Amino acid sequence: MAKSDEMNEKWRERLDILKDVPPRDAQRAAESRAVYLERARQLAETVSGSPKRRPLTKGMWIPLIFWKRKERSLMVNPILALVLVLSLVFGGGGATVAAAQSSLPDQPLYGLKLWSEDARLSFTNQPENGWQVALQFAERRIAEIRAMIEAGKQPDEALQTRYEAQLEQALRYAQNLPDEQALRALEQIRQRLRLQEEQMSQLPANQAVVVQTRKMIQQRLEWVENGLQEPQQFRQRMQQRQLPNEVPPAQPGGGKPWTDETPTPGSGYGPGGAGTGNPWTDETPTPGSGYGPGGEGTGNPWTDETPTPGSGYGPGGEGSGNPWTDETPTPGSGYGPGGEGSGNPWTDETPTPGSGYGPGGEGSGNPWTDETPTPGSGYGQPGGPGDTGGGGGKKP
Amino acid sequence: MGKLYFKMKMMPVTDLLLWRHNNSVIDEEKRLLEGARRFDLDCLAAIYDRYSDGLYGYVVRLLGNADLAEECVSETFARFLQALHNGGGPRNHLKAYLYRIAHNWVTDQFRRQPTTMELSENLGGDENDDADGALQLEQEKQRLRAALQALTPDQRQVILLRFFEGWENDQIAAAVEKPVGAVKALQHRAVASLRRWLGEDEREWKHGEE
Repeated sequence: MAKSDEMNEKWRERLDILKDVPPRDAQRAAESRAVYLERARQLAETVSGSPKRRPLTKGMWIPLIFWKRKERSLMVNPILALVLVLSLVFGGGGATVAAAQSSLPDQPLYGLKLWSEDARLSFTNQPENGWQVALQFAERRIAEIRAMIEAGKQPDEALQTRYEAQLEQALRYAQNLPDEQALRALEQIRQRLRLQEEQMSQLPANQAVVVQTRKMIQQRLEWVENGLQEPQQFRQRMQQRQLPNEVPPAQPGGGKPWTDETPTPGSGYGPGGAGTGNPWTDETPTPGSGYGPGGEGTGNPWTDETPTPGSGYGPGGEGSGNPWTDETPTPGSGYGPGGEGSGNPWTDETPTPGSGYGPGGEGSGNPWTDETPTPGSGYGQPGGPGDTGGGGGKKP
Repeated sequence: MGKLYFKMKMMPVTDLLLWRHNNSVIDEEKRLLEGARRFDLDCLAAIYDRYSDGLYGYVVRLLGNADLAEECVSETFARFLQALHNGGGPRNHLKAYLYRIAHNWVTDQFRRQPTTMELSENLGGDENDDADGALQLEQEKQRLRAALQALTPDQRQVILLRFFEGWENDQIAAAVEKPVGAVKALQHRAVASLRRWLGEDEREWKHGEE
């Protein structure tokens, strides 16, 4: 240690000759000082009074990027960050959705395209522009079918289904409009449909989708043209189509029953008239409500199931016989034999007096009971053909 | 507090005086620095008056050129102002900070012009009658500067602050931003390097003489 100090001392002495410095030029020193102070004055004017607003930057660069910058309002950075995040989320997502808009069904972004269409349609509540949006999307389907065929690909049937649904939606929006606007909308839809039809006609007819779509367009065109003539009818038709499961189209020969459920015994359903369905009400008849059978019955339209004995189903019209069972009817089950308008044995039991059941059509000849009707029970003479139930025997 | 009492008790009186002096220097430096951060022009002027001459001498010893030294002083204070304006600058050790800036400038100067270490005429303050003596002295100075130039920047700074400015190790540590132990090691290696450089030089010189 002592040796080291000694050596240091030796070097200190040796370097001492450099220590001698000529005095500084006073004038130059003064000039330099003036320049420095002038610069200080300039900077002092552009700087805020509080040193807190000028935080030390050293070693803090990561938070500084987002937060501590000199001379900036504290609120600016969070707002900037928020704007940036929002624009990334919505702008970025929007860019992808926008990119998806030109995709074809066999491309990865197609799902996104359909999703964005659904989203837009579900946000469009107003019929004023809803029909245009839906029609525009339907047109995209046509364009997709064309593009697929032109690219030598097989268009999917789902395309046609989707086209149909979107066109349907456009029509529904249109019929919800006030008369004048509805007509204008229908007119435009007609023009567009014609255009679409023309486009489809240019495609090769050997594609099933093309053929079906064309056919559908032609049918819709017909509707729209009818709608232009008679808007009220068009409206009704569209409203009926709106509830396809609830109101099935009536078919001759008593197809669908009024209810799928097994009728309650004694409910006394009468068969419909010739293909007219149930003319009285849409509602399930209450037991004992006195429905009379129609004229020429059609068999048992109400249920496919074996009726419970005593349920009192009436057979249909001419010669329908007993359609429900092959077995010999239990005595008192009330199944009537065939023959014209066999009548309706609604119940095994002795009808309550005054229930007022009327027999079926012509000569039904099937009594509801083997027993002699109690006087005053109201079972009267057979009703006329297709009448709504016979003797009115009201409750006394 | 106990530590402070122990320190004061163990100190010789002269050291205690020096320590108190140093403390008051540090307090004064702190006050000036706080003023400078507010851009108080009086404080900024006081800082210039307090340190600019010392910096000038420091650089002249290193470069042996008054013009360059003046330029270096101007540049050092300009950088100091800019750092304050940008919210930077020193929190303490103002003197060490200024010497560090000046030293960095000198180091850059060495990098830019490594071979132009010539003696300038404007250093001719010592009007020695003995022309031979003056020449020899200049030659010695030149050799010493060349030797200093051969050191690493950190070594050179430690040697200059220790031998020329008479700083203590802890002050030097603040200037070079290194622990005191590292400062001692730097000094040790610097002296070894100087000895090697100048010793070999002397041997060659002696050989040449023979």
